[in-house]
Amino acid sequence: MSENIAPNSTSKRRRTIWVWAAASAILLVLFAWVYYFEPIKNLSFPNSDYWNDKATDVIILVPALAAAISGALLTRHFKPSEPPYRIWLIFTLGWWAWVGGEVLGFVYDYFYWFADYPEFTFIDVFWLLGYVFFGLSLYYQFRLIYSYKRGRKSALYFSFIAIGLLLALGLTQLALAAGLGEGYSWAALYLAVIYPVFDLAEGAAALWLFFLFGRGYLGRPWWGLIAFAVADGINIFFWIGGYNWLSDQVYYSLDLFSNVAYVAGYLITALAFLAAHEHIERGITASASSR
Amino acid sequence: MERHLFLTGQTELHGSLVALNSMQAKLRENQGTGLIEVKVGAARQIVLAYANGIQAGVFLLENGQSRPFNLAELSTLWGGAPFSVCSVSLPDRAGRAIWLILESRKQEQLEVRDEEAWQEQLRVWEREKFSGAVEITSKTGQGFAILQKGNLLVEESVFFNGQGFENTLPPGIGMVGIWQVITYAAAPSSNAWQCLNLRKSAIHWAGGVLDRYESIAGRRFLEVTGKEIQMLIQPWQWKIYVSGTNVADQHFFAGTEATAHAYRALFMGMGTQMGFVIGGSLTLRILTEIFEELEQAQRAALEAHRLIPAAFSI
Repeated sequence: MSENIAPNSTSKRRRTIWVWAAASAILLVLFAWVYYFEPIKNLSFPNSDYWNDKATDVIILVPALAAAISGALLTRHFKPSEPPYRIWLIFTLGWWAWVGGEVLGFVYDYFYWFADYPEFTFIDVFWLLGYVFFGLSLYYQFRLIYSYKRGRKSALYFSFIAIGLLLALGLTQLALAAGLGEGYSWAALYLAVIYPVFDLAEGAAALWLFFLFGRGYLGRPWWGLIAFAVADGINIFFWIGGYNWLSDQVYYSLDLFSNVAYVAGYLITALAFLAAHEHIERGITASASSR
Repeated sequence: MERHLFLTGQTELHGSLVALNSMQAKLRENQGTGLIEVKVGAARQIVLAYANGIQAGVFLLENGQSRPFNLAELSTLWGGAPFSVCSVSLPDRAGRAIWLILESRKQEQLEVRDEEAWQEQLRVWEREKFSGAVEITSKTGQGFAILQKGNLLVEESVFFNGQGFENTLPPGIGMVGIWQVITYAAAPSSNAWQCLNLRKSAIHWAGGVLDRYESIAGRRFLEVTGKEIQMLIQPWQWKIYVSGTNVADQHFFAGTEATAHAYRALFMGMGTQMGFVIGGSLTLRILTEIFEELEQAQRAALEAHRLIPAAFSI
């Protein structure tokens, strides 16, 4: 009897991942359609543009939540005494912080739809917190691989953050000198620069891990950060005036690609977490039923 | 070598070449591990060692020393008279230990009368960095221990208590009567000692790799990976077990090629399964990192059989 259980259960688990992958693809197409063609905005009812925007926000929130929940699922497989535990716990906390940012986006949109956002919001707090968590988990991952026995202190990580902040400071001054960010306060401009700096730094670190881990289960969750870096890279290009060099068609296509990459970042991470979780569950189920 | 082990076996006092061949055939067919002893006259014995159905060696024991022997010469030595032939089945671990003794040079014989003397003897071997095998015998029991550079290799020890085999020497050896101790100096170039060296090196490497893998992937991934490696090597029915970060080898391989073949399969499995989780490049990095931490002699033993990091990453 038990011999029959193992393959069924294993293939069922494999099927689960493919079902999730198919659902993700559908969600991505749905997002692209709602974002690009704005079907709700085109309906003639009051504030239809608001509801179109909320529809895209809901579509974004679903994979964001999926990434955070599946991260928690994977983290549960590690004991607190194990070195990978803090990597995946902190990485997952980063995704929860960004879920917080997405949720707060609903709240701020509700109150500020017809007005400008304040220069600094609680959404920024959650985004920045997410970056700190992602950076810290990347740092622990690198430390575990490259200086496992040397046991460097976490202080080194904070010096990396300091370097990032200083770099953003320098770039802010350059942006001001180039006449960018007109109408914004210095602090708002600085914050606007911090995001891409952190995004690109973490994207580059994730790319490094991509080459190191290859297609290994524990390397895949980092791919999400690469997608975010790509999305933000395009936004930076626009921000520094790149849209002036593009035709409207190319601009809109790139903008769509950037936003799809953003949603894909969440989806890739969620699927990667789930695949790693399923690999463990499948291995345990298979060995339990072969006993 | 003392004869307690043979008391459990099947003996034919009026043996012949037919009986000898039949005993050999039986061990081959059953893929059994054991010894066949042919007593030629009063002072000479011929011992055939079988490792899972494969002949590991034939030895002539004379004046307490053993040397490799060509079985074709048996009829010349024997002269046609009936001889006593005895076959005994052994667990692989015991077969392996006896094979090591048969391929070693008898060094000294001493008596241990109390626990303190035994402990002192262990300290002497440690000081002298003795490498070789030790046979200890009492009225009822017989044990074999292997030492490498003065260190007792616990996982290689085996003890026959008169009824069955235990995987450790009995505690408080000196407390139970008088023990005869015979030491045998290692012959590093012999097949048995090369197998031991290869086995220890491969186990050390594999254990280190799994330990490092656990630090990156965690206990649960290690468990799953270990089970998958075990399933991959299962078809060969080797008595090699992966549990956590430990690799235990209880199999008696008849030569270094067979040992290397098994470890090649094990490392292949490790490389593939670890690669699924942490990727090929990181797997190669770990394999290399731990390989470079091995002693020069261990690396050389592995390299001689192309058991090298680059061969096992996907």
